[in-house]
Amino acid sequence: MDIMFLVGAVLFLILAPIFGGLLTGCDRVLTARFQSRVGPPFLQPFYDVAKLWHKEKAFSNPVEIIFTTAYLVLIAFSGAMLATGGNFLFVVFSLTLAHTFLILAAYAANAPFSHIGAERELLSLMILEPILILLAAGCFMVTGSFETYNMLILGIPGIVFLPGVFIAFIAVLTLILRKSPFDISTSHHAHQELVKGVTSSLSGRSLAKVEIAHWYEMIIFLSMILLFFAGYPVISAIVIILVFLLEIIIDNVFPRVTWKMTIKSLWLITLVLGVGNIVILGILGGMFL
Amino acid sequence: MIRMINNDECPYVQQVISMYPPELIAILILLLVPVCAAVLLAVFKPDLVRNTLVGITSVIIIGTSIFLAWKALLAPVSVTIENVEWIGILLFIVDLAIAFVILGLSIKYRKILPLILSVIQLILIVRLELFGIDKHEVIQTFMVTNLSVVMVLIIGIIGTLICVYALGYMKDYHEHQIGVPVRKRYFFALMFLFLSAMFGLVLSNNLMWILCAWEVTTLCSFLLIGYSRTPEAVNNAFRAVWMNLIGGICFTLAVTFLIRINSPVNLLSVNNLLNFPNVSVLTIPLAFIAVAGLTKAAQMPFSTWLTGAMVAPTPVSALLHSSTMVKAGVYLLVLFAPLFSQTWVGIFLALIGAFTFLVTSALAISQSNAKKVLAYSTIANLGLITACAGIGTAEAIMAAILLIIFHAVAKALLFLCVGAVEHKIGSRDIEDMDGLLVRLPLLATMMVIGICGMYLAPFGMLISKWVALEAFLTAPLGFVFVSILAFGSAFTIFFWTKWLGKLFMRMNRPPAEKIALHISEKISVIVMGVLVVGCCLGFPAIITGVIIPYLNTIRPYFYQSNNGLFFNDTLVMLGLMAVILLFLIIGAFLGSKEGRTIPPYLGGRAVDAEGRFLGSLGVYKEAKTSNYYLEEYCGERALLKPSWVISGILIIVMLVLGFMGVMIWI
Repeated sequence: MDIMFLVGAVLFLILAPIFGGLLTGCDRVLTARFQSRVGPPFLQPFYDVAKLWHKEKAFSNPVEIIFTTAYLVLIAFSGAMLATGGNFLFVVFSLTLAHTFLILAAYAANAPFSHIGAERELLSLMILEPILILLAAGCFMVTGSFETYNMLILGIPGIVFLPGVFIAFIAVLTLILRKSPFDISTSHHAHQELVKGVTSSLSGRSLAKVEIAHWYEMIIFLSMILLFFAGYPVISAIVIILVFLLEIIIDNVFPRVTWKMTIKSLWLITLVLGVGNIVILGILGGMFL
Repeated sequence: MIRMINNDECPYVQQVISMYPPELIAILILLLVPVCAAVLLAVFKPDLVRNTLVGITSVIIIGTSIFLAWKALLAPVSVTIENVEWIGILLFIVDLAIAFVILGLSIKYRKILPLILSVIQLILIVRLELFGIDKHEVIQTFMVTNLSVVMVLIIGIIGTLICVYALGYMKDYHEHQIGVPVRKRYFFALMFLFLSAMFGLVLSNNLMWILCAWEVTTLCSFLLIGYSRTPEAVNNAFRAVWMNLIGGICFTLAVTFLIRINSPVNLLSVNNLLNFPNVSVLTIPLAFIAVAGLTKAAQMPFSTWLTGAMVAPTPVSALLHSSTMVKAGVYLLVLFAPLFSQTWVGIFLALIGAFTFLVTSALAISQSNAKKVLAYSTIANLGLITACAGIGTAEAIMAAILLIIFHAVAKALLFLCVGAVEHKIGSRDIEDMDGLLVRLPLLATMMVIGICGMYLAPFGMLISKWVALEAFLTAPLGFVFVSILAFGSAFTIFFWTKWLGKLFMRMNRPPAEKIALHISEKISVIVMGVLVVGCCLGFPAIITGVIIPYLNTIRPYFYQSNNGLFFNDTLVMLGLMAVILLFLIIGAFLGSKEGRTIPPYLGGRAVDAEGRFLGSLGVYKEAKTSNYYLEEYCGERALLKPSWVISGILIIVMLVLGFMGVMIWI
């Protein structure tokens, strides 16, 4: 069993960035088509990272080297934990720590763009945290433990118990995949208010590390959808693809959503659907679980 | 006259030993040495004498608390002293003296509310002493449970370190605060008196004695907050005293109701109270004790006294926030947690705590004053402890004790750092702390340790939050608490990270000249930093060695054998994470930093080597941006009043439920 877990972790560490990069490429082509452009080649994200890696090492504050490394390592680590069916709460805390390092890297430059970028990244972390904890709580209420493994071997898929949490999670995913709003995200749009915000002071290898971490992150969050559809791999795959396309559509339909609107709407959704779901589950919990 | 329980061999030697068993001597040292030191400190003026006295007393207190803790961890200590009437009378006189001091000062400064409240308190105590207690029977005088051990270590080590720190701090304080009369004798005497009262509070088994210690802490905090005698200090001191007097009155009422209960055992003994089988008759005293705990722990309607207390010199804040005062409040709540767990009073107590956690975490976002951020974060963490105590299951109590420990060390460290930094850079505003890691490397490093300890994985506070989450999920109405915790911890992340970010910032202006720290400040800060790291690394030992045995002795009502909590895989993962972080830290120091350091990107403007941009008048200017404070949503103006109303209603409902005696049925 332990060997299998180890294999899972290693496979994740190797495959996630590949899939992540491919998805990003796919995203960029699709988005370009939405906007009546041709867009970059499908493999452009990999070319970008390869080029960044060989750029000159220059930074406005040397601590960013270690912070971006920490971001990448911890994101990969939390992904590996998730892939081995580990403790979900642990994955959440580890992700939080990883994001904190990214934010610190942006802070370190002490420049207006990256500082405001860091603040807004912090806001998005603040939006993400409640729904992840609610999801963890939901897992615990359904399976009696925080282990994601138990969620995957459930007889009845988790979505039956946690539909509200699922919808709230998908809503927050828009933000976490760095799609909308335009004044938080670091997406590849040209119209970005903050010149790519949190990464505006990063260059060369630091930026490459952030890009790779972002690929990991994308796979981590998309694979969290699996928790809701245990035992139905085909449905899971379809849902993941649909969600991914949905996020691209949302991004292109609402290009001018600001961060204040985002916080309000996403927390409202989390509060109503996420908390509502947990409360109902808590009340009914004693009856049928 | 004095006898030790559980000692039945070797009659002759034993008689001598049992007259004064080492545990009793240790307890007496902890209670009396700080008082003696206080008297001496009040008498002698020269700095040299004071430094020596504080040093020696601190060594004695630290040594004795460690000794007592070691003894108590080996076997629970309970000491009974017979013929304690005279001590009771002495403490009654102390109670009266406290009341008269507060009365006198209220009249002097013309404060009506404290005056009325202290008169009420006086009447209640006199009534209690003269007509209440007549069925005296021998009860254990001192009980040292593992919970007391934790508290003794916190008070003994952290409390004294803060006193040591104050030696250097007060020198700078009076250089910075011209016009404040120098009353160092008064200051240090009160600090040590405070420690003594705290020891009395956590070691006594008699509720009357605890009440007396409780009142002493109220008085000491009142006098220390008003130390500078500026109008603001006086106002805040009186606010602290009237709020804490409400707590004192509630405590006295709780005792009054306890005496009325017809029971074969003396219910003034904490020990008997915890083992009392019929909790349903205890709900009224429990509700009053809950209110008393809430006031002292600065929970929501009473939170302003603690935020106002920051006008005092920083060591006082550190003492109030980390090891004394507020910890007295939560100690009392955690002590009675097994009783709370069976009542609806407990549920509402937990709700007030959780609500406080949520609101004050949000309030902390809106503050840029470092001490105020710390104050709100203290209240938030105490809220979490209160919530755990109110729920009172085994896991919840474990979470509460862990929170008490980690909060005490990390918060003391942070206060000491902020105090020292304030004297070095002349500001306690977080906005002015940019690039502190370059300017004051030692203090900033310690500050980083403290902040990480407060909220990041895999450090202490987060572990306790984790346990709390598990505890909430297995408790009745747990989903409410989990939801509150989910949002509250999001706020927590926000305000800590933006502070942390400031420390790591690049300096875009020439650094000021280096100023040396006082040796006493340096010692305290470093030792405290080591303590934080030690607690974070040693938490599995704390859980297995201290908390689990405690849980086994008190047997909470719904004791759920936890499925190993996080003793298996999770511990491995936390360890793995710690190792990763360790490698990163080593990498940060040893790794190659080759490359060019260039000015940051400022929208394409010309930038000079120090990171300033070329302004339109041809002058280089520093680009300044500040953190988000979200005043509109999280400001005091937006949040304080509504939350007073909500928490006030919750308290009233709690009292009503107490009077109705509603129990949770299982």
